[in-house]
Amino acid sequence: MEPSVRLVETKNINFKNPVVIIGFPDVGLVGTIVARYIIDKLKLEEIGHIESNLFPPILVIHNEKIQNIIQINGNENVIVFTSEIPVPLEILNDLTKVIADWITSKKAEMTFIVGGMPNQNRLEMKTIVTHAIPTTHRASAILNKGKGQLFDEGVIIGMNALFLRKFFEEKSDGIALLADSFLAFPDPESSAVVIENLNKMLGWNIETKKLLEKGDEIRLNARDLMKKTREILNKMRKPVEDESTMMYR
Amino acid sequence: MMETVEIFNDENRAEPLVHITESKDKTVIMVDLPCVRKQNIDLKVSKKAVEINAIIKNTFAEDYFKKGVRWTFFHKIIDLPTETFPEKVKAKFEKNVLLITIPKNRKVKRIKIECWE
Repeated sequence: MEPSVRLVETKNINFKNPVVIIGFPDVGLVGTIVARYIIDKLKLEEIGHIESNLFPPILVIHNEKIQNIIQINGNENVIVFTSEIPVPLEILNDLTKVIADWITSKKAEMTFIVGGMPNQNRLEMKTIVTHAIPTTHRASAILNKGKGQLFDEGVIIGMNALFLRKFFEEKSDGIALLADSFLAFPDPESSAVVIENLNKMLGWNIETKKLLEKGDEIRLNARDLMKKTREILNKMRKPVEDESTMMYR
Repeated sequence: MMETVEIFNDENRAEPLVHITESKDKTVIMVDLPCVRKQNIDLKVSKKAVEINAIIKNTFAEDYFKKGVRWTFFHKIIDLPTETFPEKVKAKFEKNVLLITIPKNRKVKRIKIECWE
């Protein structure tokens, strides 16, 4: 059966074992905020996108230009995946597979899956912790350079879970970096913590001051995306909760 | 006191994000109010609902989530799942999140069940 999504490369890039960042709309929109900030700071051009007949009837326009819904930005050293809308549930499996296979074909050095982890005490937190899940021993070694704390027990739901499982099964190097975050509000502060961790692990020097300064602005303007993302997250959570009830009955 | 400026036009009204959690004794409502100062929040509580109005201090030409709308105030009415004592409601504003703690009025009245003759 044909996959429901297709990855289209629009620029011919000679990749040199690139680092890949995957940041889709998720808890606290951390993945999206991190991905967009990196694209902006590293001035990464769009090099491809995802096509699917299962995208909702929506058109996103940015700076007077029509945007692809799921975009791939990058250069020969860095590739960033992000989306203008929460990824529809119907394409999650195919999308994960198509992206992971493409990353493998480009001989990526390491893939970082960035996002948030809901913490009900987020409002009172003085220090935001980044929970890390490496898929290989090599990924664990890189993780030691950062300030991430290994996620030792629990359940990951959604697209991040699918990516991690795929990387784990295929012994591909991947690390999920999930920062403590508000569940239902955009969280630029948590996003800044993820970027600081990436800086340490990759030897980058992306400043986060501007991100923190623009925090309120991002929160104000990302409300619609957050609301729609939460609806999708609730749909994802439901079957998992039902299954858990069965497991512990 | 809220600033009395002509900004309460429906076109410029933004709906804040809200997260509600409930326990046996209380309802906790978190309201995300970016770009708002504490003194510009007007919170009203009745037995059955909470109303929030807040002036947005500034709007931006945004880089990452650009929109064509200029919002000037937040407005939201939240119906409470259980009646409350308005005088016992507490609120604090931290990191531009308004946290409202609402005790539940759990006063119950036992009803005698009568038999049909």
